[in-house]
Amino acid sequence: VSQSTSSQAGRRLPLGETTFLAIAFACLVIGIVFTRDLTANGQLVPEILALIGIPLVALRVAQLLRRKDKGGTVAEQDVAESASSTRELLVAGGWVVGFFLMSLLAGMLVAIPVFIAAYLRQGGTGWRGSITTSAVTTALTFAAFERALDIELYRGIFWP
Amino acid sequence: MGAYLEGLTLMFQPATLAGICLGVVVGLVAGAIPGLGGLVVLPLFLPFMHGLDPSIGLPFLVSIVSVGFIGGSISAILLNVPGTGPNVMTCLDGYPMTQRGEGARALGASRMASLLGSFMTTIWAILIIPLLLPIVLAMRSAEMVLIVLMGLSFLVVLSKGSLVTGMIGAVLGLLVSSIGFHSVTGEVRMTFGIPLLYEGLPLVPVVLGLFAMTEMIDLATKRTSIAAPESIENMSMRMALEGYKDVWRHKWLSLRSSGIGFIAGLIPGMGGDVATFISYGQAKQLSKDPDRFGNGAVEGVIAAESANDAKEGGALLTTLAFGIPGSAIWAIMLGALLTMGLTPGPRMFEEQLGLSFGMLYVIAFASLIATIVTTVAIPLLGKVTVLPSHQVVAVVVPIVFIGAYAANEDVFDILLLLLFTALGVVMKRFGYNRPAFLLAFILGFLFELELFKALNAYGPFFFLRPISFAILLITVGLFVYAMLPRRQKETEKV
Repeated sequence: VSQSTSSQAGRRLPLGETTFLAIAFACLVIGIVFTRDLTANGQLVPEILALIGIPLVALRVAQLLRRKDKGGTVAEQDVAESASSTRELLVAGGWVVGFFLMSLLAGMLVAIPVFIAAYLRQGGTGWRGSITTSAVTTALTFAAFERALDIELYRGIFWP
Repeated sequence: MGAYLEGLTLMFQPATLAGICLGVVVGLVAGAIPGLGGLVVLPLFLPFMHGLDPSIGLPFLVSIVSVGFIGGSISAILLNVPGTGPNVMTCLDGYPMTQRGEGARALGASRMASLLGSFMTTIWAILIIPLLLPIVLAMRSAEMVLIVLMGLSFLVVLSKGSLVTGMIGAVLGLLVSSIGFHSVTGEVRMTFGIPLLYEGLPLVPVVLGLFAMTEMIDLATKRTSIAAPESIENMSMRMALEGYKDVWRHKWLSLRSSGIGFIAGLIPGMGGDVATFISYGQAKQLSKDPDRFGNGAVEGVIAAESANDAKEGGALLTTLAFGIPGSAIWAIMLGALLTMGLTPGPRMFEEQLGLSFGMLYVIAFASLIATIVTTVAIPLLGKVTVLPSHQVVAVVVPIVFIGAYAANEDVFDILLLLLFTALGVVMKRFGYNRPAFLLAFILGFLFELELFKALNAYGPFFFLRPISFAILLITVGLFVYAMLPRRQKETEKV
C-alpha cells in the first residue's frame, strides 16, 4: 500500500459507511416516532432499541472521526481500489437489478434463460456453452418448480 | 432409552435415509464451491420446508449443514480457498501439504478427523442431554429473555469485527423484527400502511438477501476463476488412506479437538471460526514441534477438522434446547424448524426427544456417508472447485430469486430480497455483523414475547432471579472481556 496520502480523501468521513449510519439512525428514530400512538407494550422494544442504538451510531461516527484524526488519511491507492471495487459492485448490482426488471416485465421463464446466457457470454463462455447451460438450467427449473413442486413462477406484466 | 431407540428408528426410515443422501450430495457440492457453503445453500431450500414432515426435511437440512464444512475443507486443502469460514484454519497446513504433493493425504486426514469429530459429538450430546434436560425445563420467561441477550452478545463479542459494529447489527435486526403485528397486543407497528408488512418480514428473502445474494455479488465483483486447475493433480486413494492412518497416530489430539469443538458449539453464537481457532491453537501449543504448524503439519489439519465437525452437535443441542442458534447457519436451521411447525426450546426436548436424538445421529451418519463419497470421488469434487465465478453466479442468482419468490409466490418478496441484498452488501463491505443481524431478526419475536411475560410475571427486576442473574453476569463478563486491551488488539488485527 502506497505510503503517500491524499489530503482530500483524508478530510472527509467515508461516505458509504456514513450514509449507512445515517440510514440506521433514521430507522431508529422512525421506530420511536411511528410507535408513539401505541400502548406502552407496543412502544417498549422500539424505545429500548433506540436508547441503545442511537448512542452506538454516534459512537461509531466518533470512531470514524477519531481514526481520521489519528492520521488515518486514505492512501491514494486505497482510494483508487475503493473506486474500482465500487464500480464492479455497481456493475454486479446492475445485472441483478436487470434480471429483476426483466422478470417483472417478461416473467421468470423468459428472464432466466436470457440472464444465464447473457451473463455467461460476458464472462467469456462461448455461445454454445452459454445457450446449453441456459437451456438446461431453465428446463430443470421449470421441471422442479412448475411441475414437481407446483409453484407457478411469476409470468410478468405482459403475460397475464 | 426409548427416545434413543426412537431416534435410531427414525433415522433408518427409507425417506429419512434418502433425505440424508441428498443432503450429503448438496452439502458437499455447495461446501466445495467457495462463496456458496451451507449458509448460502440452506436458505434456498427453506421455501420447500413449509408443512413438510420434519422426519424427512430435517435430516436433509442437517446433512447439508454437517457436510458443508467437509466440502469446504476440500477447496481449502487443494486451493487454499476456504469453502466456508471455519475452513480457514484447515488452509494453514492443508495447502502447504498440497504444495508438497500430499494433497490426497491431507484430504484423507481431514475426512477421518471430521468423521471422528462427528461421532464424538453425537456421543457427548447423547450423554449430556439427560443432564441438560432438568436445567432446560427450569427455564422461565425471565431466563429466556436473558438467554436471548446472551446468545446475541456471544455472536457480537466473539465474532470478527468491532464490538460497536456488531452491536449495531444486532440492534437493527431486532428493530426489523418488530415490524408488523405486536406478538402480544396485536398492534401494527412501522408498516407505513403496507398490508403486506402486517405479518412482519418473511424470513426467506431476508436470509437470501443478507447471505446468498450478497455472496453472489461479492463473487461477481471478483470476476476471476475460483481456483487454478493444476492444483487438483496427483490425487490418489492410496494417499488418502495414508491420511486416515495419520488420524489414528494422533488420536488423542483428535479426541481433544473434538471436545473443544463440541463445547464451543454449545455456547450460543460462538460459531465455527472460534472453535477451529481455539482447537488449532491448543494443538500448536501442546505440540513438541510447534514450528511445523503453518508449514504443512498434518496435526494442524486434524485439529481444525475434528473441532469443525464436533461443534455441530453442540450447536444443534443449543438450538433445540434453548431455541438459541449456535451460529449463523443454525439461525437459518432455527427458521427451518419453525417453518416445519416445530418450536425449538425447552418443550422440544419434552415433546420431540426422539426426533432430537435422530438429528444427532444424522450428523454422524451424514459424515460417514460423506467420508466414503469424498474418498471415492476426490478427483471429481476437485473439478467443481475450479468453476469460473461467472458460471456460478449465472446459475445461482436465478435460483435465489425463485427461492425468495416461491415461499409466498409474491413479487413483493423479491423486492425485499433486493433490499436485504443491498443491506447485506453494505454490511459486509463495512464490517457490520450480518449473523448478529439475522440472529436478532429471528429471535426478535421470542425476545419481545418473553420480555412481556417476564415483566408481567416478575416485574421490572426480573433479571434478579438467581439463574437470570447468573446469565446476566456472564453476558456482562463477555462485554468486559471484549473491552480488554488484548482482545481489542486482536480485533484490530482482524
